[in-house]
Amino acid sequence: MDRRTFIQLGAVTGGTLLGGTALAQQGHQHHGHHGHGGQPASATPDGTIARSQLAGARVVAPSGQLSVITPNGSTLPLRRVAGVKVGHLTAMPVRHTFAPGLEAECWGYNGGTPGPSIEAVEGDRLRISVTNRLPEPTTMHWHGLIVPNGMDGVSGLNQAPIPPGETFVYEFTLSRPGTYMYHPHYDEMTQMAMGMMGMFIVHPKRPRGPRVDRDFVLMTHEWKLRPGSRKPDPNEMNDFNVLTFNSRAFPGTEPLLIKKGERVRIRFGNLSANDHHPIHMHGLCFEVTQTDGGTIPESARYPETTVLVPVGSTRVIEFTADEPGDWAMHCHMTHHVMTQMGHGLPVLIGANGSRIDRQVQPLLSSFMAMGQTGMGGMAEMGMPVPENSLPMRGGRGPFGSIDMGGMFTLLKVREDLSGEDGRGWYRHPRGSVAMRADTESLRRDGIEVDAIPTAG
Amino acid sequence: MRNTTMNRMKRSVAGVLVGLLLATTSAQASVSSEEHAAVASLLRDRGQHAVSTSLPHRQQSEDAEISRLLGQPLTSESAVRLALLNHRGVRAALVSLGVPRGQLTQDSLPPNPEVEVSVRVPHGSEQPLQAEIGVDYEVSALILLPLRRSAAQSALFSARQRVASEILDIAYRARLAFYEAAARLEQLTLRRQALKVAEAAYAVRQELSRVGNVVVLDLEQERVAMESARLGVAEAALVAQEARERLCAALGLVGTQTAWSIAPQALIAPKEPDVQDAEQRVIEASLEMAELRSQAMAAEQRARLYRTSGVLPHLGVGFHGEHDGASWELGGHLSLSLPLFNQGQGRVALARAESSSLRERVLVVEAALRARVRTVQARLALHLSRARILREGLLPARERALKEMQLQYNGMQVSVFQLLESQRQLFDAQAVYLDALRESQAARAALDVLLAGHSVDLGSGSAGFRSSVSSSGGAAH
Repeated sequence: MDRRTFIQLGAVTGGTLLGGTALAQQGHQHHGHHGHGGQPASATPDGTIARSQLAGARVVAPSGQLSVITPNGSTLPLRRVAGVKVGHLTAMPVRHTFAPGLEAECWGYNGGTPGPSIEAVEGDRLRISVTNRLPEPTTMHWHGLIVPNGMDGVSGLNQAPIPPGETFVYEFTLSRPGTYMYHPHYDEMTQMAMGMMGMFIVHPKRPRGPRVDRDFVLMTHEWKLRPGSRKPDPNEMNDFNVLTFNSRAFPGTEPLLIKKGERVRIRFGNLSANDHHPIHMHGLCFEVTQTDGGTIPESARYPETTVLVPVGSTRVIEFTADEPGDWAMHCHMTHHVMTQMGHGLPVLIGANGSRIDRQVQPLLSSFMAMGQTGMGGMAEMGMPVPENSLPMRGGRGPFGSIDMGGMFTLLKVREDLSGEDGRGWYRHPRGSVAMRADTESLRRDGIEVDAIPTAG
Repeated sequence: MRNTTMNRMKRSVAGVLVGLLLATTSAQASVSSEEHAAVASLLRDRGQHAVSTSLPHRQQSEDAEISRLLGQPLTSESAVRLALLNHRGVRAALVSLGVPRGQLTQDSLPPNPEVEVSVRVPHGSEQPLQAEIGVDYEVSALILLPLRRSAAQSALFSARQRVASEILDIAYRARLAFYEAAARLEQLTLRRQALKVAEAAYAVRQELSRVGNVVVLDLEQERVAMESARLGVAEAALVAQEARERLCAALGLVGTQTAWSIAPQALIAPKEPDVQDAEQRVIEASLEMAELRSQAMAAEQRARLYRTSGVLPHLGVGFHGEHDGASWELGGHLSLSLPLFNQGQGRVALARAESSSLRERVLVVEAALRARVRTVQARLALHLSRARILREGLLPARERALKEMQLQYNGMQVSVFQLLESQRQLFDAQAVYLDALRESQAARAALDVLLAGHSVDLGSGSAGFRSSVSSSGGAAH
């Protein structure tokens, strides 16, 4: 990336980030975590950690099983009525902030996307009312759960669609523990592309294995939102440009706050239209303990640093966070960590930018060649871009720009969580950060910087 | 007594001759200014004050004015003034009025008397010298003179109307040629800009090719686009040159006079016409119809002349004197042609047919003019609408699209080639706008000249206007 200062360079990036917070917070849907209808009050569009996460989880299932944490999301409140846990989901249009500076008119549940995580216990009888506030019919499919056939939600096959304005009731018993999902099964191409999905966690009656201290829920998803537009494009099949954890793109993703030594579970779901996501974790290794089909026997597990979450599947990993720091966790498909990256453009790497500028600038005074030295540092250029867009924008870190966006978040592993709000950066022990090499140490190590290495 | 009579007769003949000579001489001297004034009056009557005051008078002052006009960038008004002062067609038209004027003069002259003198010398010296003198005068020609003069007068009126129409045509064609030249020259500039866009795109491809980032196909397609744009410039240059030469011809410019320039942004949208009852106004002002009516009138007057001359083919009176050596014998005579067989029926019928035919042609012209007015009004409304849509809709939209394209480029959503293409499309839209301006100005000029009385030829009109102008091959990026 050519880092020449551009005339329009200003505080565009920073200004947008700061301004976006207020924009999101004025959102009509944001109420308290675990509040009315499970609206995503904990949403932290600037990437800070929600109060709910800081307050810690509560026991919700036998053997001290803790409630799940849905970063940037919420959990659906359930009431017990005559032995049945009752909940209410409203399918509705929502105004959603992917990250500060990038909003869209989406569809979701109870005011947000993803919808609130549903959390219950094996054996529970659940009755979920689904109200349709969309302009078209919908249904609800309980993805991965084994329910009575008439409750499975496939429109026209298992039930009639729920017309706009109507409420249908689903009732079933949770026969198997595990990590599942829910989504519409009427015009699902459109409705899921618009953001209608959520996670469904069934805690076991009799948990096996070590108890976890933190239980996170992350739904992966992909969207097409052209820079400057406000509506996701459901017609897109391949070229997705906004990749999200819980419908948030970095730097809008809420970090996962972990105390050193805690055992952590992360439940991944993938309701993307077309892409699997190899989720890679830095600073840790883990084991995949469950799929949406059930628990993986311990004998079949092995240590990994990347878990592939296929479309329409869930994967559960567990690990112990032994190494403090700010650790990246992201999809390893490189385009999935580039927000609103344009594709199909000519490659400029290696070209002479000045030569190109001399040709084009007499015709277009605002023109500047880009990409001739690579594409890093786009955010730092601060060039004016379409309103409501974050093309190739990442976030800001303690050492400068983090030029990754999209399906990227942070694991903040700390020795002490007191006073931590997610804004602060890890303070590295002295001498533990890579720095510019000094000549003396290079000489001592026999490194000749000016020597050009040759292959082989 | 005889001497007194002879003297009176001599004085009388001399007076007529001197009077006729003076009349003839003064008529020859006044043709130019009188006809000039008559034509100017016709033009003024039709609201064409600017045209009437621009008619050429004295050569010296006109040359100075022509030099002054050519010394500045041309506008549509200065171009019209130049044409009227400089185009030889204006002078030719005005001078041509000398023909009917001469005919009128000729037809206004009374016939000359015929004088016959004879002297006889008898054989033998004792016989005195005998002399005879006779004077004949064709009275019938004198009687027919007013009729002949009226016919010639109508022919002159007709010619004046034709000349006024020719002058309006020259002014109209100068205006059209100016708009054409202004548009084509500006379009050539836009084509050159579009070529620069294509050259820039090709240069970028070349640079990318140099570092191995594009395939040869991409490079060659860009070259195709650039060469197409270059061809577009060459074609536009020819069109502009032809338009320039048409304007030179329309203004009658030669030699160093042809090095004129046009004022920047000379082509603007005409004002919306506020014309009530345009058809009726055009019919009332039509010089062509007036010319035909004058010709018909002249034919009718010739018919009357032929009819009269048919019943009075020849009437002559004469005086005769004879001197026998001692005294004069005086006498007179009357000669009369009897129209027993030839009463000029053929010539009368011919003139009447000619008149009737011309009267019918007036109606033909009226119907055609009415259609022409409606056509011009429709054409003007269409092109004004096109220009308005382009000015208020398409051009701002293209500019906004270019601005947004720049933002999308900054966000790395579109390529430099798409950005350049957007710029080229803006140039194309500007070229189309120039066409719309030219067409609307041409339509406005046609309406104005129709209202002034000239039956303008509209040509193929809107059927040929282009809805888009392409400056390059439009390579896909």
